[in-house]
Order: sequence, then C-alpha cells, then structure tokens
Amino acid sequence: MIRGVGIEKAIGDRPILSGVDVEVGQGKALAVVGPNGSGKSTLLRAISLVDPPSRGVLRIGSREFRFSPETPQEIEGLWPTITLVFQQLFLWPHMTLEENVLLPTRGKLPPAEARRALDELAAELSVAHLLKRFPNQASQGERQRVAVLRALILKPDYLLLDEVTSALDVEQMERLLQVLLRAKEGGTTLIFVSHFLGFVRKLADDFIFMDKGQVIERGNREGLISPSTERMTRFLAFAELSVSSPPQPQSFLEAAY
Amino acid sequence: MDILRIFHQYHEALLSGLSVTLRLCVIVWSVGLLLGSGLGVVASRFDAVAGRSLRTLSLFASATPILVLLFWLHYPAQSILGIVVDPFITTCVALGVVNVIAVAEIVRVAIDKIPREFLVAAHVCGLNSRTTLVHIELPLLLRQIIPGLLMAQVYILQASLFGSLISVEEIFRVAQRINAIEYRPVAIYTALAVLFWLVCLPLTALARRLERKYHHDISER
Repeated sequence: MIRGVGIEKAIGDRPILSGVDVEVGQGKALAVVGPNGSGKSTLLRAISLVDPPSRGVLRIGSREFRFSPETPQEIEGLWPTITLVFQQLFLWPHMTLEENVLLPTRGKLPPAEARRALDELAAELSVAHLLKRFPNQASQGERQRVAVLRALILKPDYLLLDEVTSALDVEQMERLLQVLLRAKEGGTTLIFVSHFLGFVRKLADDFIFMDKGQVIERGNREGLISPSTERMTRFLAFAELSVSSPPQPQSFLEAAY
Repeated sequence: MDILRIFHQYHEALLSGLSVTLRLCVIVWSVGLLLGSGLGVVASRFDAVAGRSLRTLSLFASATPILVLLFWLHYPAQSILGIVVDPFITTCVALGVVNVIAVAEIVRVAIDKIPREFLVAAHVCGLNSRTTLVHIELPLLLRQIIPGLLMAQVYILQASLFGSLISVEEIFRVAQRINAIEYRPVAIYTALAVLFWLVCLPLTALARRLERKYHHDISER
C-alpha cells in the first residue's frame, strides 16, 4: 500500500502541493484527476521519490519516509519496485524500442524470461511490430504503450502513470486498460493520471480530485459519476466533452524525438 | 605534370614535412581530447568554480588569435623567462591550450544539454549508476560531442600551419621552401590545398552529417 500524509512540495517559495493526503491499498488503483496545473504530476513525482516531498510522511509498503525541510535526508529510491511512467515518457532516443524495454531487465530477469515477457506484453499492447524502431520512428501513442511496457516488464509492486492515455485511440486505450487491470489483479498498485473518464472509471477503485495543489474531493469510482463538489462537477462536464474530441499531439513531445 | 615531378623530386622533404604536421596534430589532438574531456567533466560537475573559470577562459581563447598566442609564447614569453624552447614544442603548447579549452567547452556544454530526465528515467527503471553511465549517459553524450570534436580537430590541423611562421618544419614550410627553389606557386599550393581537402573535407562532412543526425535525438530543451 501507499499512504501519504500531509504531502507538501514547493518550488522556491511557490507551493505546488499543500497538505495532500493520499492512500491506496495493495492491488488497488487510485486515479488522480484535476485540471492542468493542479499538481497531479508533481504528486506522482513526489510519491515515486523522483522529486521527494518537501514535507510530509510517505509510506510505501513497509518503508516509511518522513520529509521535512529542516531535516533533509538522503532518499534511496525504491526503484523499480515503485516506478513511474512520465508524461513525457523519456524513452532513450539512441536505443530501439526493444532495447528500451530490455535494458532495465538486465541482471534482474534471465534473458529468456525477459524475452518472453516482452513478447507477451508487446502482443497485448499491439507494439510487437514496432520494437526494432527507434522512438523517433514511432507515433506518440505507440511510444506511450512502449513506455508502459518498459515499466511493466519488471512487474513493479507500485506503478505510477502520468497521462499515458493522452495519445491513444479507443482501441489502444482498451488494450492498455486490459493490461493494467491484469497487473492490478496480479497485485500491482496503481496510481494514475488520466483525463479520459471512461478509462478512469474502468480502472480506478478510488479517486482524488485535485485543484491548486490540494485534494478537493476524494471517493470511490461512483464518486466520478456523481461528484459532490461544484468544482469537480464542472471539471467532469468539460472532461466528458473532451472525450469526444480526438487527442491532441503534444508538440514539445513530438519535437523530443 | 610539373607537380608530379616536384612530388618525385622533393618527396623526402614533403614526407618529412607531412610527418612533422602529423606528429604535431597527434600530440595536440591527444592532449586536447584527454585533458579537455577531463576538464569539461570537472567544469560541468563543479559549475560554480570550474565551470565559470572555463567559460571565462573560453571567452578569452575565442578572442585571442592563435597566431598572436603562438608568437607571444615564442618571443616575449621566452624572453621574459630567459629560456629557449623548440618551436615545435611552442606550437604544441599554443595549439594544445586552444584545443584543451575548445574540447572542454564542447564537453561541458554537451553534458549540461543532456536532459536530466533521461537519466531519471533510467533510475526509475532500476538501472544502477554504472549501467546508466555506460548505456544512457555516455552514448547520448558522445552523440552530442563527436561532431563538435571533429570540427575542432579539423581546425587544429589547419591551424598547425601557423607553426611554419616560427620555423617549425611542417608541411607548409616545406612547401614554401620548395616554392622558393622551383617558383611554381600555383602547382605547389594547389597540391597543398588538395592534400588538406582530402583530409579535412571528409571529416567536416562527417561532422555535419552526425550533427544533423543526432541533433534531433535530444532536442527537447
């Protein structure tokens, strides 16, 4: 399980997260929803210890971390037990997609087992035919699926996903959903950000709605259908509308590859 | 066919000049690449002191003509110190200093340009520091620096001709001597130009090609 209490994060004097409490049980999925700039990505980076919180208590499985600006501590990452798929993906551009996926398995999985896992996941995510390509030879949606594959191949206990559905079409989103549901059944705990409510409702057990670095509303998946705050009701109304629009390519990501 | 006769007649002198030029370049390239790479890494790691010092040095180096540096080291510096240094060594030092600073700056900028997130992604995927260095950081770094390094070394090769002005018996000085005897400037200097084209053009073309090819890879910033 992951439990964060009073998570705060500031960049300089500017608070990004203010006293965020978050909890998700083992093998469960927590959706983090909210408008742009609400602190969703920062929360995922904080929980994954990529950018540790400035203040608060974070419990990941049996490990507990206490953060305080007065007593900074060296954090040893728990990666890849907990892993994060970044919104910008950060596939290594000088390697083929296959090498991107297999490199993290070196020394952790026997090559034959890594190969088998790769083939299996690649088929499920419909990326098997792309694996010899370099990231700049794949579309954003294809890269998103490969980035998830790279994170899943080591069967992490905790998988954090930051908007990895933004460039997927309905069919690919369904494939990804099935893979993530199976990972969840296998005991992987998920925390994910997505703007696609259909995807969120099918995958999440619980949700938190964030705005301006704070949790405005929390609840189980039913809460996503009948929210209790006006702010979230308004947000969901816009989100429902946006589902009918095709995903927009993220120009700076396109430039990255 | 004049040029063939000259080549044949003066082949020993020409080979000797070529050999001096090559020795000079190999020394300056080696010193520049080794010390410059090390200095670039240090400057990137310790930006406040080493990085700032390197940027200042680089600024002065880019504003100082090589010829002025060479002549200063050859005449006033030796006069002040009361020593006499072989012109070959003086040229090595002058070009070596220029190359070390150039290489260091290329390496420093390249290290700073690698998006940190590629390395963070490596850590998050569970790669240890060594694997991250060998498989992620170095390949990305090499792609960034190789075109610039190639261009810098081509520049050093061309600048090695300045050694002739302080009596280093390199290829240009040999060509001048032959011309003084034969007075065939068109043939001799054209042959010299062709010789340099043969070496410099492929290297320059390769550097530009690599630059175009790799620029897109990590153009995220």
